[in-house]
Amino acid sequence: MNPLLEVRHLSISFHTYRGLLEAVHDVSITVHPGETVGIVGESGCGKSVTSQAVMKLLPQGAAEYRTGEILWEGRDLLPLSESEMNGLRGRDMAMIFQDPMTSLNPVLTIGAQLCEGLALYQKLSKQEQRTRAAELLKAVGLTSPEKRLDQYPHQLSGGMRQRCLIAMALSCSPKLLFADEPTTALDVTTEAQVLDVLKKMQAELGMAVVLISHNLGVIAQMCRRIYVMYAGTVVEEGTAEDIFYRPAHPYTKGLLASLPDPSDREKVLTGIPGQAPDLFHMPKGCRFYRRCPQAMKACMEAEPPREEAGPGHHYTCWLAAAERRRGDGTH
Amino acid sequence: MALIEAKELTKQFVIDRNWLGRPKKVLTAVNRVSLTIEPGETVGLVGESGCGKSTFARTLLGLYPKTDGDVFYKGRNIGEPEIGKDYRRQVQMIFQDPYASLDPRMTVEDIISEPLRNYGLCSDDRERRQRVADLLTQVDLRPETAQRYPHEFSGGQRQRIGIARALAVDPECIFCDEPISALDVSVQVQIVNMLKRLQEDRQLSYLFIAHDLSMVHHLSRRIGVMYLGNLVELGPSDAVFHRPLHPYTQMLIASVPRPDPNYRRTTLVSGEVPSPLDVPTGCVFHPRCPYCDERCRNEVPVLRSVGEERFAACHHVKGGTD
Ligand SMILES: Nc1ncnc2c1ncn2[C@@H]1O[C@H](COP(=O)(O)OP(=O)(O)OP(=O)(O)O)[C@@H](O)[C@H]1O
Ligand SMILES: Nc1ncnc2c1ncn2[C@@H]1O[C@H](COP(=O)(O)OP(=O)(O)OP(=O)(O)O)[C@@H](O)[C@H]1O
Ligand code: SF4
Ligand SMILES: [Mg+2]
Ligand SMILES: [Mg+2]
Repeated sequence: MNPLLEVRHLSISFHTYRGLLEAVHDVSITVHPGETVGIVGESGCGKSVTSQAVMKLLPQGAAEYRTGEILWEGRDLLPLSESEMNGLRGRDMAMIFQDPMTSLNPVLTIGAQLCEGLALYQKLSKQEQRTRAAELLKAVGLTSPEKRLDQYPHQLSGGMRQRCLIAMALSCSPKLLFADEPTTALDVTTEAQVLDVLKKMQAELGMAVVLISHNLGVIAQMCRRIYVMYAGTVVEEGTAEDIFYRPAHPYTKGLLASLPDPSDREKVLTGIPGQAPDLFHMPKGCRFYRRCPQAMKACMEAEPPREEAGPGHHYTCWLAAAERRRGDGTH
Repeated sequence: MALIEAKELTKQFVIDRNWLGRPKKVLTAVNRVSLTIEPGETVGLVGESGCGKSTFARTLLGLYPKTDGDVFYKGRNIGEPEIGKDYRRQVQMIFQDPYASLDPRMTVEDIISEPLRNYGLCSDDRERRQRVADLLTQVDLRPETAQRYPHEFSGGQRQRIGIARALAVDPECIFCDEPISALDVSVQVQIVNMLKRLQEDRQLSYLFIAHDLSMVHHLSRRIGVMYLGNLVELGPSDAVFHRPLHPYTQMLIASVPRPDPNYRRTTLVSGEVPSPLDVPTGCVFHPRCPYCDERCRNEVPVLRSVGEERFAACHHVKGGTD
């Protein structure tokens, strides 16, 4: 199957008062029609910038596409004009942002905001719009959808607002939905319900989802394939089983070693020492070497190569090369 | 003897007053909660947003005046002035957002030594400097950082500063209100491991509030579960996490996203917390409860003993005495 989205060697920099800041470095991501892809990593590693770059929503002037291409159904998006992009956004790809309160208009009713979206891409009468809007709210599990149409965002709970945002994003049946931390502000019980809705809608519409989260549990529960990001780069990619059962990169291993084991309260969490590097002072070699328990001399000197751990399972690390050299030495 | 005991502690907020100044609406944020914290023990407190965890901690500490109930420190009522004074020194608190709780114009040294000064714990500057350096070392910060300001530190480091400040008066117990919620997972582990180490070194007790149930399970000896101001379940950590008794606890634990791609949730998760100004009759959980019946709608279940160290407030939980 041809990929829906192919991000190739994308690098994004921001012009800041401290100078040029490279937030995303040589990132490649592929999304096939209908699949759920996860992007996981800690704060500031470039998850949001990557997704906003694909939709070309980064602040113009401040953000610069340094290298790479973004292929949408084989067509490069980078040369497209703003109006061509507008045609794509909403209809082909949609986004749910991190903070539901800032992405809903506080002075418009939920119904007005939903209908606005519907009117943009479909020819429907006012009454048809309203009926369709109510259907959408019902589909995302809101009780008394007719009543909700006339309510304002502040009259709804956080969970309800998030459901409304999903409804809006899905109003034009996009082929791809970016969900950027869609449940981070919610309680676990509400989170579970919103994730269920997302799963259900995805199955019904057959759309692809890119789910962005720092929560490994959420990612494990939702995604078939996963990209692990660290300090602006993808350090590992693979199926959910690869990442959770056979992690290859020391960072991924460290992340998993940060999670408590429900079956053993006494287990010591080894975690990862130190903290992520400042993007202005990026280490020359592997971006993880200062925190890596297995770092070697090579790690400090040059960017690590991309290695294959199995079919579709890749990681960026010097360990395999060192292993091979050692192997050569003994034979 | 329990280090700290809350007995039927209640905290209400008056939300609205009429033109005579009489309360129109009263919000019961904490409803007759009884809980003990033993020396050296960690008690975890969980529940959905707005269920009263922070209010309980603050009322227990005396930061909010209580509406009703009592607090005992080593068996004596903190209402007695000299007990209360001792208690307020022995129990310290750290918060979710270390940035908001640290004065941006004060150096780290000033921040940490403020409680020392308040309690007259250091006679001269040299001794005070030494204490601050010791405290910084204990929270894995370099003593040289004492002259810097909070904004120069990352979130995890700020939380360390907050912990150093709480430790300054050598307390017996620290209330931790979401101390790791704003931090990256790898940094969360560093803080949690440090809290554990400090507990061993100093026989500290913790009241630990967090959203992350698996982390609460990892850190706590016992877990209390709150819903709409009520303590609905209390018991040993493993028992509550693996064999929850109260239907609300069951729903909460089932919701925790597991870092295992083959895990499938079986318990139904539904509904949302109702407004605390419009609390359901009978059992507060009844509108969301799959086991709800006539009795649940009308009769308030009280927290009762339902097994070894286990308590639940539900008509349908078997065992124990009514
Ligand atoms: N408009 C901007 N100008 C300058 N720097 C930016 C801008 N937007 C993002 N950045 C920087 O780019 C880096 C990556 O940010 P991004 O928002 O993608 O992180 P993230 O992985 O989504 O983190 P989080 O989990 O906190 O949402 C950060 O260091 C951030 O400060
Ligand atoms: N100062 C206050 N005045 C009025 N109402 C308050 C006040 N503080 C808290 N409340 C209310 O009391 C209830 C309990 O709030 P509390 O902050 O204790 O919950 P919580 O369990 O700590 O929630 P979270 O997980 O969001 O921190 C909520 O309904 C809240 O709106
Ligand atoms: S390249 Fe080196 S420093 Fe980086 S993760 Fe691999 S072993 Fe660790
Ligand atoms: Mg983000
Ligand atoms: Mg709170």
